[in-house]
Amino acid sequence: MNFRQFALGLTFSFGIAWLAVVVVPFFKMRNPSPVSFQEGVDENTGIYHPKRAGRGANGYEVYAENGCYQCHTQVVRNTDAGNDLGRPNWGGLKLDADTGKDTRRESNVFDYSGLDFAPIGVTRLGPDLMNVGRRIPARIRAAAGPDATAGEIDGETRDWLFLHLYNPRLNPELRDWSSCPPFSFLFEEREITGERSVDAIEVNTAPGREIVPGEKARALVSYLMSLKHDDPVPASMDFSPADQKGGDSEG
Amino acid sequence: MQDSNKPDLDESLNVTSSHEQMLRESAAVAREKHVDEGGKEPMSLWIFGACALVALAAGGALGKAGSLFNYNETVRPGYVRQMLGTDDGGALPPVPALKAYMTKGEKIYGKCIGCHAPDGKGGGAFPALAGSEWALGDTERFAMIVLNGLSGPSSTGKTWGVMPAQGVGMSATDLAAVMTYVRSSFGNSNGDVITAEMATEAMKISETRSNPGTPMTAEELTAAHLKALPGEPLDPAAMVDPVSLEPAEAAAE
Repeated sequence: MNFRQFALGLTFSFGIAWLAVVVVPFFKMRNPSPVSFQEGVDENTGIYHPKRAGRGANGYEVYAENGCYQCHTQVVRNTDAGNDLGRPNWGGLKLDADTGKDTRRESNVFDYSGLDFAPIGVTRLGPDLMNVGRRIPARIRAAAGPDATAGEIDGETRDWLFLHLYNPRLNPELRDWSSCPPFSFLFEEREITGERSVDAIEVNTAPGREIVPGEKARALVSYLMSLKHDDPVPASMDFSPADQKGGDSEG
Repeated sequence: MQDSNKPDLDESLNVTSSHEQMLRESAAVAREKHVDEGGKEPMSLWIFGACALVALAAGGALGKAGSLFNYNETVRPGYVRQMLGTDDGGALPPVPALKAYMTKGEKIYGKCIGCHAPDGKGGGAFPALAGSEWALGDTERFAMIVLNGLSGPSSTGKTWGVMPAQGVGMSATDLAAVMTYVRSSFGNSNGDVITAEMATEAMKISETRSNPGTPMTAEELTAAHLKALPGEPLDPAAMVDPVSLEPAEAAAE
């Protein structure tokens, strides 16, 4: 065997695998053909597509450039691959307070459509974020009681996320063990002029100064709050057992 | 054919023609005997045969694999979501009682393997459980031996060493599972499922012995424990929770 044969053989053997595992799925998944809701079967009508726009899209870039995907995944696996759906509110809400339905579902290919890359994550050191925009509000709502308005819950969710980004170990729940690095460089410290900013985070500062989220932190939090991948899917993509179709939370 | 460039060493020998003759002859030998073909020998038939076998097996495996390299489906065909033990109190899907008790019993039997061997045939200084009259017979006698150990002659009349008591730290479920396992493994095919209630009764009986803590003997077993444990064995097909071994209806509540 000479070097030429060796190089050709190497290229061929690894190339085949690369073609089969990377190239073909890339072109197949890049433009998945849309799935329609069926009238009479599904509650919704039209074409199934996740909505994504505005500052959330900017936040996705902040998410990517800060390497959040190194520790946080965004994929809820099928139950034959792992018990992600059994984790509290990872795949959606077990009991949606608004509709009374079980919204949990697996991730599907449309959850990532339109993104430059699917942020499925590298390792699962932190919790999955596929439905973090559902999970944290649900937790805050449970703690706040039934009187809290949607606006208050949104505000508290935003504060919680800002504090988490500024320093995860300021969060009383995570203080002792979180290995999430602080992203305090996304915030700026400034002189209070007039009123204290409503977005200023609750940390100790020098008197007369406040710490407010920067543009990137705001975009990132908007993105995180938009992560709600538990919308109803067409019946052809609904894998719940026959007696629980449509998200009925009995059983 | 005298080459004028070469020195004529011997008048009687034509160097060129004898050289050519030598080359011809060695080429003929090389052809006949496959000598030194520089790695271009024909391949043996058995290599072709072996490769064909490998290709056949690979083809069979790929053919059976179904949707391997099926890029149009992102989930396994026929996939139905099955919520497994959730953090918020969900339960595992129930399984038939015999299967659940056997699975648990096999784990508990790990304690017994050292003497009675993985195949239950004993060996050396230890008696077999496979086909043992005392293991397969009356459940109370069997439970007493497991809980308290045994000294003196066994069911075959042969006297082995002393079996130490196994009851310490054993829950009723453990006892029920390991008894069920022994009675339906190693070629034993009793097939009845000893319930945790029956095992609890066995533990009560064991505590009321006149000489607690000593190994059982054949006389004591024959005198007092030659009967089935109170309670009914469970239907082997009844559905139970695979972890708690509780009946599925009770576990779901």
